[in-house]
Amino acid sequence: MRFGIRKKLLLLMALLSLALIIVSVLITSTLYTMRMRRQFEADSLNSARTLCNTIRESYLPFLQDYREKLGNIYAEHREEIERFQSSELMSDHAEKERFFNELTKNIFPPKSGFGLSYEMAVFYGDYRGLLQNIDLIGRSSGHETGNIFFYDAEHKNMVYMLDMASDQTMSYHFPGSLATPWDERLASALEKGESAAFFAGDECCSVHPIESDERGEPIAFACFREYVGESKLNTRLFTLYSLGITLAATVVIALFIMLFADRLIVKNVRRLSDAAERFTSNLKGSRPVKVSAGIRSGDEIGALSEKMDIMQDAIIGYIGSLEEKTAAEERMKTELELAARIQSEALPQGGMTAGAYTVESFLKPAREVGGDFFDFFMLDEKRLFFCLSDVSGKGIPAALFMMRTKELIKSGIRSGKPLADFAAELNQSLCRGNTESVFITAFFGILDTESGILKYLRAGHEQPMLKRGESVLTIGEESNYVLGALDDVEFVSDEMRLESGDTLLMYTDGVNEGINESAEEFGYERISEALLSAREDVTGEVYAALKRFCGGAEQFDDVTMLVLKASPPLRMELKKPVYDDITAVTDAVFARLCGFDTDDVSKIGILIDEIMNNQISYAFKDVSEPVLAVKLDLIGDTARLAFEDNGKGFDPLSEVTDEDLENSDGGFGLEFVRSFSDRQRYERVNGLNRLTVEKRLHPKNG
Amino acid sequence: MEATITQTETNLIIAPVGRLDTAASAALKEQLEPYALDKTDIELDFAQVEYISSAGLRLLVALQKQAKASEHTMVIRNTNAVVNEVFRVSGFNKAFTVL
Repeated sequence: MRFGIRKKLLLLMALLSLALIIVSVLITSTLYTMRMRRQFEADSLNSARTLCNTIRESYLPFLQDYREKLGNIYAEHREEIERFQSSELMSDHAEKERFFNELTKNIFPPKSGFGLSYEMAVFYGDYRGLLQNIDLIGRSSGHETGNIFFYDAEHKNMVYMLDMASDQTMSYHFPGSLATPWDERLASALEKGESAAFFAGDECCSVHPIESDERGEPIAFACFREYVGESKLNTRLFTLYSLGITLAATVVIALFIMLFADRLIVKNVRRLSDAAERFTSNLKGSRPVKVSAGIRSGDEIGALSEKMDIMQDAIIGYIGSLEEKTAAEERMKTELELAARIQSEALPQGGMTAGAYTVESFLKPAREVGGDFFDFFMLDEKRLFFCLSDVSGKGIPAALFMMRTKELIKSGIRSGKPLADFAAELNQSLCRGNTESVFITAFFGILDTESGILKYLRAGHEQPMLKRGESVLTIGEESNYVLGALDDVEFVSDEMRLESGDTLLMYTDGVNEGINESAEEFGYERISEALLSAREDVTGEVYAALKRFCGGAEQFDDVTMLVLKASPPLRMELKKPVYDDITAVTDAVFARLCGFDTDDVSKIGILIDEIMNNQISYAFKDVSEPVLAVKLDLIGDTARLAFEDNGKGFDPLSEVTDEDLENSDGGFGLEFVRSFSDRQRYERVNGLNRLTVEKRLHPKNG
Repeated sequence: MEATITQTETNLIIAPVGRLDTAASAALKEQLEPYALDKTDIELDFAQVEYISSAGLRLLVALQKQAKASEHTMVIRNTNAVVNEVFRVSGFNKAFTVL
């Protein structure tokens, strides 16, 4: 269950009001009771004083006389009275009356005969008059009992002289009866002969000394007693009144406070809440607008409102700067993408064919521009240069350094210097002004496309893998130092021969260090396996294997590969060859030569037709199992065709004469062979005729 | 590839396609058998000929002989560089009418 501030305040106010009412009623009623009691005490004492004054004016001689007489009786019978009063007879009114009448019979003789003596008559008159005064004063003031007694300080006895109550009641104090002061204040006043008024329990009591003129010592005391209970004090009514008033006041005050609190807190809090909500919904829109609660109350809520304004400003400012930042990032990203495109466009696209060799490139950049690059181009008609390199670091600096390196390589390699010297010069150039300590790993190669000799130099780069037949080996076991780090290192190049069918795979560390989701590296072993199983598209298949291995893991580094392939020689063996086989051989050879000039290729076609026609026509006479083999090798830009047959030994090059040409139409053929090939050679090997012709081919389109 | 052969009132137009080598020449010879080669002039359109070998030359020589014998002419049109070179090397550029 949830309570709003208003409900909570209401509950709190109710509890507080209740406590306040209880406390206030308790305090006021106590004060009231005290005040009322003082009033009663004063009234009581006033009555006593009035009685004393009356006695001093009119009844002093009587009282002195009466005091003397009763005093004498008391002095004589004190012990007897005390004994009687402590006996059980005291509770019997008749016994009591009899005892005290007997005691005071000398003062109050029984009414008999014809009446009283004069003295007695006077005495009774005064007695009755005084009694009437006590009664008058007592009743008019509402006192329940009024009496006159004298005090025996020695025995601490109050000796009653006159009692306003009639002698018919149980509470009547017969003249001569005794009482002990029931209260310390009473005792003290009696000892000192002073007046006193006090409450003993609910009874209000007052005493006042009646002093004679001669002596200061009081002859007797006037006393009024009255039960002042709740009903007389009207406490209940007062409490009810005060409760009502307090309740009403509290309710009014509480309502006022509630109203005030509502205005001060609840409404303001709601305004804050509304402002916050509207601001938040504004944020979802296109442009954030400040929504101020505008509370200027100067208290904590006002402060909160101001803080919220500040916070909104901060948020709007933050959003603004975030937008700017995002825009800047977007711009940066676009520029980076552009840089990456320029970078990749600066690299040669796809691949190239140089004679029997093809170069294929592969680049899968990571999200950022990186420092991987490759290049390949012909240095002259027969030498192919290629390189694969990796600049340390990533991003723009690596890319810029890469571009610089690429240009240095391109201009440096054309000088014609040996690879080692070229590398040393390149290294020195890269070391100069390399304040960022960027270094480069690289693999350079120069392939003589005629001889198949590959000169190469490895500078800290991953070792290329060479697939030869059905095995994979690494080349460049000994590495040179990386480029751009130390300017006085020496470089050494190495050399090998590429054979037909060889595949050389070069790659950057993005391949072998590609990691999967378990942080395992792809590694050399897997590259080797992928290379071995690859058939046509080597880079594509290695990359596919890498992707399979990495699964969903993000590619962190550029994946760059360069492949150099030496075409396998074309070899066709024909058993019992017929003229139509020439077409098949021609088609197969043409397929291999598609990259060369059409006219040159057509001449190769003529060569094939002439030679094979010749073989089929003449070589196999008396041969039971004729076999004809054709082999095509591409050495650089030269096509070498070798024709073998198991016919009788016959050298068409030397044994055909001009005379034959005149006599036979077929003679033209050999003339064409001479004219359209650069070199021709006949040999007899292992019982086979082998005619080899070579022709240099121009690249396509001149 | 089959050659296109068109007989008009005055001309037999032969347009070989592709290589005119041993196999193609044999095929063309066979293709020409239904035609009377001594009734009209012969016109060879080499626009689609890639190259010609000595086997092709032999066929041309045979056609040329037949034309001459029947007092007709044979012309070769639209030869490419390779064909021209073959004619030149073999000396047939002098024997043939190459337009």
